[in-house]
Amino acid sequence: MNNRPITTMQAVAVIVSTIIGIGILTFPRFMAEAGDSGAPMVTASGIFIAFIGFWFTASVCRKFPNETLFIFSRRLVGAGLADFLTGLIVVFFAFSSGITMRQFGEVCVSVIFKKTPIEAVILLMLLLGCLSIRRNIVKFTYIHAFYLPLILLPVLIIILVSLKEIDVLNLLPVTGNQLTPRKFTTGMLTSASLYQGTFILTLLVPFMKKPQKVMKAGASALLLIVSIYVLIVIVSVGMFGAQETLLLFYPTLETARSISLGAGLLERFDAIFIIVWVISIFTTIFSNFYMAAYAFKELARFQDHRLVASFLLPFIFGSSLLPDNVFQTYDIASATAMFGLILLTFYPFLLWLTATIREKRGRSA
Amino acid sequence: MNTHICRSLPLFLVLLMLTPLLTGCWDQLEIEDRALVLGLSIDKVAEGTHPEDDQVTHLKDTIKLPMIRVTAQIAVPGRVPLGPSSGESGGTGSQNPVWVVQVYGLTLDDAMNNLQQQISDPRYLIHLRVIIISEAFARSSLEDLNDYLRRNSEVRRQTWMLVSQGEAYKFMDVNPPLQRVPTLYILSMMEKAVESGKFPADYLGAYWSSESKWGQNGYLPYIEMRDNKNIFIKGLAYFSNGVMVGSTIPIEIGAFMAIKGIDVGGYSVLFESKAFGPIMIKVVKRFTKGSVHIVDGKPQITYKISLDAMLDEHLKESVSINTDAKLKVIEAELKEGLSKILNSLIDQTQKKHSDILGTGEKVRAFKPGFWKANIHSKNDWELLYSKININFKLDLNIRRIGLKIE
Repeated sequence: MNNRPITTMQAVAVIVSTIIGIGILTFPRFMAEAGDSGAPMVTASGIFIAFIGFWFTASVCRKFPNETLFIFSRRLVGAGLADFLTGLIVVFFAFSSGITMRQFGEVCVSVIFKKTPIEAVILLMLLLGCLSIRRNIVKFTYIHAFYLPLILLPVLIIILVSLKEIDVLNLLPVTGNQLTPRKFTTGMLTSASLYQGTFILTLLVPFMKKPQKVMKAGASALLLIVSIYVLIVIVSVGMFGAQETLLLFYPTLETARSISLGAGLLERFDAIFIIVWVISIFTTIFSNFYMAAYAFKELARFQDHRLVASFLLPFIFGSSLLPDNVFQTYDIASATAMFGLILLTFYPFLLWLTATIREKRGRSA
Repeated sequence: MNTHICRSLPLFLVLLMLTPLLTGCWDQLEIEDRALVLGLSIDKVAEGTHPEDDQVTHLKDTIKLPMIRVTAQIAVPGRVPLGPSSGESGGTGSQNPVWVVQVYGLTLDDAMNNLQQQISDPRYLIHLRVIIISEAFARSSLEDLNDYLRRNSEVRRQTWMLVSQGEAYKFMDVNPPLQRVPTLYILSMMEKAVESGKFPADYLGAYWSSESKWGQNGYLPYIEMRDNKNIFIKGLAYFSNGVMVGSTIPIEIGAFMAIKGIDVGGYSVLFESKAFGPIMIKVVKRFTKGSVHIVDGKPQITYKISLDAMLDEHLKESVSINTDAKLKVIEAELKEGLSKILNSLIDQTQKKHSDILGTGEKVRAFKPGFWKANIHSKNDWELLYSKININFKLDLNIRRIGLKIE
């Protein structure tokens, strides 16, 4: 039995399906806010910041291909600091799962299930996640690889169908009319914060067939995702215009609601879209929950993470019920995302720095 | 005995866990128990009449808003014919497939609440396809509609909103011979007009998008009731500053579609040729390219319009149209006539500050420097639009003349 069964393609699949999630519904609005007709450019620019964090994570993981980040970080920065930061990672991923679930519930309750209590929607999804993560990382990878085509294909079909509804004027000038450096930076950071799922690769490296290829896997995953993001923004802003996009709570959903194929033959694309989106939320929550449980297990030096998952469930559920209203939900969500962006960029950077310094010193000694 | 219980207890627990699966849908609601609103019409209440305030959502006189009258067409379950064959076999034949309910309210939402107060089934707007507003209402304010319909997750952007000459409630009660459900008749009429090049695909969503843009104003179909059962597409109702400011005549819809380059061509032009007498030309294909230049500090838009046409009718039999040269003469004459129609559309929209063509969007897209320096609100462009130059370069080709030569 091979104990490094994850192929590079599967690693790409995990990263892609982890990242594509709750954000796709609302982010065209934030992008339009930052760059009006230049929204696609603002979206694309986010990848540069996202790539920094990813590069440090991947290169430091590559140096220790047999351990996860939570183990080797103790040797690099000392057990105390490493455990503290691992704790932060647990809190971040657990809280981010909770807030993702809340956003998911908000959409479900306001668009599809108007009478179902939001708690029921959230709890069912969390239970599903909680049961699914009682598996090892290899099975975790397989589940992602299984769902990825079910997410990508319908999304691409919806994008292709909506392409014909685009008015190119809405996307010109490509640099936007009201773009200021300040707005651009905000948009770029918001866009970058959509990629924090890349951190999941720290779990994959010890099981990858060719751990040295993690950089390639992550880079191609990021490229794939940024092209999907840009396409989604092109479609929403191109269809509605930047000003109208600002008025829509869920621009991407509105796009799916507005298109039809073949003179009313297939009219309810929003139904297809919601199904796809529920799957993509599941894969996201699955990864975040797994990350939180796994990091907690490492932090507490437990044998496995299964009981941790059940133990974390009430906390995640609780955090999903914290916000009072939709605005609070989205404010907390973007604050969490910003925190994540900072944590998951600087912590890997710190590790990378110490690892590089030690390497140099080791060589000179 | 003990082992028996030990063995069956887990099984019992597993079965117990399955029970939630038997509950079915939380939000389940049979289609018979829904009041599906197919069409809505909105009128202003005439001055002088004071309909009773239903006080469903507020206390009397606590809020000052003009009253509106909303007429809803609700599908009666089981009576809406699903196919062409399910026609008059029922016997009585007079069973109306729709139920028309009229309510008054201060806002659309208030009126919908009053409506709910008097019909038993919960109302649903998921099948709302047509909204007709009266001209008087369109000329006052659409803020209420724009907000409520955008906010409501049941309403689609693919809904038609039409402006009616005169009162709108009459359209909810028409009895068209072609379709049994009046709103479906209006819907299919508009959809077919789009297919045959008689009207642009101007759904509610498209109207909203253009109203949101700084460099464009919205327009809606303008209709009129004929003989109490026919609906006549009368033109474009165009908006400025959020309210309707005017309407065009039907041929100007053709002019509008030509300037926008919306294919398939659908309008015919009847004109008096000096040499050949009255001639009808049918436009079959439209293609347009617009360009923007800044001349003397003002944007200048040039539309290069290419039209493919065919000769449809020629009255004067004494002169025949039988050579290429003669067609060219007609083309030249027609160009002049067409320019007049195009300019009449431009002139009236410029006078009313209503840029339904979206020339401002072109300026914004291609001359961002000028836009940033001069336009700081939608109103800025509405004012500037009246002063800009819009030129046309017509390229007209009469390709064929039908089956008769002479």
